[in-house]
Amino acid sequence: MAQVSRRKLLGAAGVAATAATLGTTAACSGGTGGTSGGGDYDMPTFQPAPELDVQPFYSSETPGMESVYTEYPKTFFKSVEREPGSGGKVTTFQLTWGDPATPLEENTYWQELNERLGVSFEPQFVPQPVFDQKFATMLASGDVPDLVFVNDQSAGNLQGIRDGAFADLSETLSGDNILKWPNLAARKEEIWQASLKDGRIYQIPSIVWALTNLPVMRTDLVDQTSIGRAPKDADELFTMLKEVSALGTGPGGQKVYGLNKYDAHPGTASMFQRLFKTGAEWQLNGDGDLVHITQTENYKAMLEWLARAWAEGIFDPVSMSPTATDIVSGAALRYDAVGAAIGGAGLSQWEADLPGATFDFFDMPGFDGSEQLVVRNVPYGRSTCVSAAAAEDEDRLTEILNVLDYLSAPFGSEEQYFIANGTEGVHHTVDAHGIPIVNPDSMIDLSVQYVGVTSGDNSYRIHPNAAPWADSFVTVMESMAQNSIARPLEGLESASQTFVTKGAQLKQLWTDFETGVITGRESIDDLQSFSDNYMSQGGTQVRDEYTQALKDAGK
Amino acid sequence: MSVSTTDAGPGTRTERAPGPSARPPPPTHTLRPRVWRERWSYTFIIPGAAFFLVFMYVPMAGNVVAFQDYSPFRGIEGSPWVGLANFNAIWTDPEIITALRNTLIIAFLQLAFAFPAPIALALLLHSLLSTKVKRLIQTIVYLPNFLSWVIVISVWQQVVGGGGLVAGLLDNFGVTGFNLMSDADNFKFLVVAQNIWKDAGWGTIIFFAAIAGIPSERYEAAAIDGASGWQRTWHITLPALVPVATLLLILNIGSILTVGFEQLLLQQPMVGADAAQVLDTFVYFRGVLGGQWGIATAAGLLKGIIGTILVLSANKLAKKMGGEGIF
Amino acid sequence: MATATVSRPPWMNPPSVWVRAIKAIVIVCIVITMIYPLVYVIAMSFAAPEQARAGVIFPTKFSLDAYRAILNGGTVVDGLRNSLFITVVGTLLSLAATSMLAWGLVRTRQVPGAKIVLVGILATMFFSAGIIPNFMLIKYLGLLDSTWSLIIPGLISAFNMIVIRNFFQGLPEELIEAARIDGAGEWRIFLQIVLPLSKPVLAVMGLFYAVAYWNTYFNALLYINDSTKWPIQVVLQQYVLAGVAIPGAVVTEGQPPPPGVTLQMAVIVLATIPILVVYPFLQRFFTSGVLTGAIKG
Repeated sequence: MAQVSRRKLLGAAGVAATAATLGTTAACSGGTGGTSGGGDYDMPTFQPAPELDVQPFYSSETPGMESVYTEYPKTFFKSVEREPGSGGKVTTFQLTWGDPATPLEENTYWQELNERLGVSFEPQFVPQPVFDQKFATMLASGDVPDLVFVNDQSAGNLQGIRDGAFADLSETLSGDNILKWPNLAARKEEIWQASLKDGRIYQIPSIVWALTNLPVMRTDLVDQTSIGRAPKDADELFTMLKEVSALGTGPGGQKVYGLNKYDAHPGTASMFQRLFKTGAEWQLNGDGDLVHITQTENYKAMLEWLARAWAEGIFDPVSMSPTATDIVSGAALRYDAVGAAIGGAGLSQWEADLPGATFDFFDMPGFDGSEQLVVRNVPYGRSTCVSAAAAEDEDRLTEILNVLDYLSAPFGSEEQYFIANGTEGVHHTVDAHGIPIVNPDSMIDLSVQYVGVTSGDNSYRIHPNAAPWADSFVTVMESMAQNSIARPLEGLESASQTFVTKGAQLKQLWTDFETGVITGRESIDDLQSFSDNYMSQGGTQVRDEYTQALKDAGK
Repeated sequence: MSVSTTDAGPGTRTERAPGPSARPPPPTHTLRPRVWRERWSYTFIIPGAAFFLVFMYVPMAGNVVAFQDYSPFRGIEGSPWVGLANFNAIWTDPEIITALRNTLIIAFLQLAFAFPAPIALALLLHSLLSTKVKRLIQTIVYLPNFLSWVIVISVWQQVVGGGGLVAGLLDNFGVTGFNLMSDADNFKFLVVAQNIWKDAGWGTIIFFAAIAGIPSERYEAAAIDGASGWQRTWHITLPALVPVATLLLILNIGSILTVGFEQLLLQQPMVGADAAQVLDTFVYFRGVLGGQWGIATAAGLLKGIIGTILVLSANKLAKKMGGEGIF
Repeated sequence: MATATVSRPPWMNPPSVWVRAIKAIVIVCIVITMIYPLVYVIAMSFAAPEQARAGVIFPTKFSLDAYRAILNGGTVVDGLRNSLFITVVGTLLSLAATSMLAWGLVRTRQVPGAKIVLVGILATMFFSAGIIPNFMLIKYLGLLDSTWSLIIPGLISAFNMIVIRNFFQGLPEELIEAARIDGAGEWRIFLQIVLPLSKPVLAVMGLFYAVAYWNTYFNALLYINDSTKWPIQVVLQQYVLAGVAIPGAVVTEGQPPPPGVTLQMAVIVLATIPILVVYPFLQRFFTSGVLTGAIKG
């Protein structure tokens, strides 16, 4: 044991100094060109990816809204000219789900990928259920692979970044330096900005939609109500949902309810937060002070509405169940992932699965007859970090970033086409719509490549199967985007150390009270005492740390 | 040779335990000759003891992080020492009381109901005559043990949950709103019932092994003496189960602070933390999810110390009451 | 109840009708509650994809898709082979190591130090070392990515050892003493008298060990990176995951996701079958009379 630890300490010695500095200056800087841990740098230059060769079905300048495509590109651009590697080896630590990739010897895709990358690509697949534990053992053993998938919403992963396990890439990617890696450069400044840790670049973030979920209604059920498809306010929505529950059963003898699932923020609860315009979890009140969502009047109104909905049978009694398989009823309103809804197996498939059921996107009203209020997501998704030890050698770092650059090629590029689909005729076939369909047998071969970074085009791509809903999709999404706000704390989430360590505990406290009030186990009258409890168990500290972070960021 | 049917069965112990070179101990008090005389025993003990030393005690040294603000990358040497801060964080938490109370209530109900269930089931199955039927039923009752908690809870939801089978039946009689799965008041009984359902069948196995050790001559002799079926169960089968039952009871008492983590975590959203927060879920939300290794380890240490003390006390008590104990 | 075909021991009177009726009712109730979920699991594993997606409670249309998807997978065969090795070799080694230690610790009063060892082992049931120190040990021993990392750390379970020791303590002293007087060595006594007399408990402990090895999951995920060395449970669980949406991931175009429920249920069926197959072989050890037979012979 002693020997193991000593070895580890030696490995960590190089970064110990940085780690110490970072630990104490956490949350003290969030602005551009932070200078807390290393040299000055500029935000990486944004160089958009080449345009697709098909016209968008819809495009919009509204913040939060992305272009919508219904056609698949016909030609593909080359995103990088060079061969990324020069015969070395690049190891990764990457999330996997599903069957692990076929071993290299039997995996033609992997062999081809190695050839294209010019390195021996050696991924370590980490199954999702133990990702955090594996991450911890990886850090503890001191052997940090070259490229590591990082979820900075997880306290343990964030701690790894803070402790200096990963390279500070601020100077390497500063300003025009990043143009050496055009695919890495294909992300806007706001994404870098939001993913900074202590004002420095440690992670290369993925692009992600600001609006990932939207309400979907069962039109076959809603049309039978006195309200119809467009309730104007919370009361009309209530009536609509209640009348659906009163129907009892729907097509195929399926039991139907107004709602059949409730999971706390950011789950289906977000739908009602939009309805009641409750805003972000931490928000500035009229006096410019930071308050928690539960301390607002709108939140209280929302809880009362939900509790009444529960009491009057709008909810399926199993709505709070943690296992999705328990929910077999139909619901007038669901909260679905955009990607699933507009994908090949989205709305069209749902209708096919239950003959008689019809679906459409639903435009949520505001509770008082005005517009809804939507809070946009963190503008970046999963990230990848580079091992601090590997980055000490500049040539190694260049090769690693070259490989990452290749792997994060944007949609519409030859590289991305190969990465996602392999070779035509070998790993995929092209369907009647011109869309590559990966052979089921090749799926597991392809799982080699998932390092978790995507770049460039961030559009909504509607599968031809979902094309009949394209207009309604655009209407609903545009309405959401137009009534959306960014969170005041955007990019500062991890600035509160208390939130990082106690966030889960506070979330549990909140969720427990919220579901308690809705199901009638707790009383809405206790909202104040809940709030006091929440603040005393860490909420106050979180608020103060965020207030300081906002001040430092000059917001 | 044959063993007398009235003594020396698994139920009644001889004073001297059998074991390697079990010669009557000569009255010597010096250590060295005793060790030399028992050298054979050590050849049996040392490999196993070495295993526990290397694979249990060496890694257990890592528990020192209970006194640290530990971070995996910094390691034990690089992490700051914080004294008893992690223990204080646990004890000063306002919710520790709820968590402890729920843990102890559930543990007590388990000991009272879930613990005897496999014994009762084993006796019942043992009393069946047809070997084929017996084996078939044994196989069926073992199987729930292999279902994960997610599935178990899902199945229970379908039967006793809102909109489930029972709720549907009651609906016909005009009783609405039945939902045992979200009934916080009876939740602890529900937990124990789920435990019995899942594990009682599997738990019978060990008792079958004990029953298998009863010489059938003893039943014959009892029957000749005119004992009824009930009397035979009461006077022969049950006593044969006492040693292993005592042992399991003592070990269970040591695990009193550990009640089904996954089972409770999954059901917490339905009944609320007031009813379903136990020590392990408490630590999960505070230590594990927040990346606070120190707090999680401190809680583990506390549980270990309390568990060991409880087992040693239970063992003493068992011996005082005339039982066998573990040692 | 097919009791009529069974030959009743001559010393046993037929139980009264009432007792039999009550017993039958109780047993039928137990069996029904336990068999319902099993039928449900099996039925769902065969559910047609559209029914699984639409969320029916009991499917009426069936398909083999889930099984086909799982059994076609590249690593299932590897996984089965790995698990078979771990289970067979692990169980044998565990039984040997555990029974040896248990026999050595039977006489805590006479053997100096034995009691300390026993208490020390008992304590390991309540203290755990945590993930990181265990991982570091396995790494230090060079067992990472080795199948042995799934066998050696679980070689002796304190619980199983104490239970076996408890049974050893109940063995008839006279028999062992007699053998000793006949001049049998300690190893011979252990191998030829103690172990044969303990068949029922060894069978039970063998089952406990085998099930534990067969279900190896978490350690395999921590210690084995090479997916061709994964045991079957890990491979199977990955299929369950495949049906679950990945947090934070954007779903792209392509195939409809496999219906998670059917895969999950098929995985349970596949993972449990081996235990169903092995169990009847062990059951014969649980029949009365083993001990007496051995003593008489």
